Amino acid sequence: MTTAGTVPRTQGGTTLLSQCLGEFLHRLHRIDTHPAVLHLGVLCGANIAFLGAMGCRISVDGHAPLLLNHAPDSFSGVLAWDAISRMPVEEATPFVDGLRKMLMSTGVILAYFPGPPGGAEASSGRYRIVGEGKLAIEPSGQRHAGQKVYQNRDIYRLFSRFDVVRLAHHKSGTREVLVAKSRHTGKS
Amino acid sequence: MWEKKEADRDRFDPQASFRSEAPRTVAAPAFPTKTAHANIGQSLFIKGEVSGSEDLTVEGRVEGRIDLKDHNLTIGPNGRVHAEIHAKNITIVGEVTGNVLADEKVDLTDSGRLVGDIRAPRIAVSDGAQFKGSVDMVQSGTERSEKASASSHQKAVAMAGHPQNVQMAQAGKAAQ
Repeated sequence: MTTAGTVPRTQGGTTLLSQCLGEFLHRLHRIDTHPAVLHLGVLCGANIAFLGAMGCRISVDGHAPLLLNHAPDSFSGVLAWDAISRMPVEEATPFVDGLRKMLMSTGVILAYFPGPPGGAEASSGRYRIVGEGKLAIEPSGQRHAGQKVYQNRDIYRLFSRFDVVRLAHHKSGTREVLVAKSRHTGKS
Repeated sequence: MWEKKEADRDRFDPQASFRSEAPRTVAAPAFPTKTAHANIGQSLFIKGEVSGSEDLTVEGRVEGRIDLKDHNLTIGPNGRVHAEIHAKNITIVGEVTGNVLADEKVDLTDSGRLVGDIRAPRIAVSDGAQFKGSVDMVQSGTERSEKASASSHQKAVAMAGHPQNVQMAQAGKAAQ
């Protein structure tokens, strides 16, 4: 686990210096030259442009991740952003299991778990890729009052069937995690 | 003398007609062909295949298939389309359910709603647009050759900085 650096403010929200995005992108291209990526959470056109320019095929599922019905082993990577943290806790584990089935054997998931609401920086909303190691986060939608704030142990438990490649804890309270589908579990 | 005047009158003077006549004007054609544009009005419902060789705006409902290979299609704010679509440029302001194939560009505006897959060399998705489906940014032949000389990765990094409505050119289009 690492602690990430500064979080300068921008006009529409904050900028987050990602510890995992670059590694996520590198792994995608190690898996496939034309990798399939599932984009969850709030739709951001810039991300589609960015990933498309990198040769990715992008699937977008927006705000209804529970309706996912993709075939097994169909994605090299999942950009979950904060979609998991927005859903009720009891739905998160089965959802992550569902994502695991959709991932290829060496596939990766990048997810964000915002800190407590009311913090100084926006950490929940639309995640816009502005570079390999940089994200702009624009507030979007309402966080539920009872929405869970994930601690490290919760994240490790949630991704217990994955290899946690990196978990970064940002000053804003946001936790950023990159996990890979384990090759050796024998489960799927 | 009289005979000389007759001879002068009969002599052909190529400049004479231009000097004496007022400037000519050419009447505009009744149906301008270059800007031909069809419209499916709000009260219309078409079920079947729509094809043609002019730009089209859909404000009504269409179910089936729309094929405007070399022309532009706009789904207006009131347009409701449940169809497979193929056009040169496709702008979605209203609602579309079905796969969308554009030879040049798909523009999903902030009020647009698309359930279906997009296949186009260039795609613009405005923030606020509703989209469920997949995106495959295929390249046209010229773009493919341009891309060979340019790093797409560097372009992506540069273009990702655009704040709202990000337009994407997979090859060297952005630089043109």
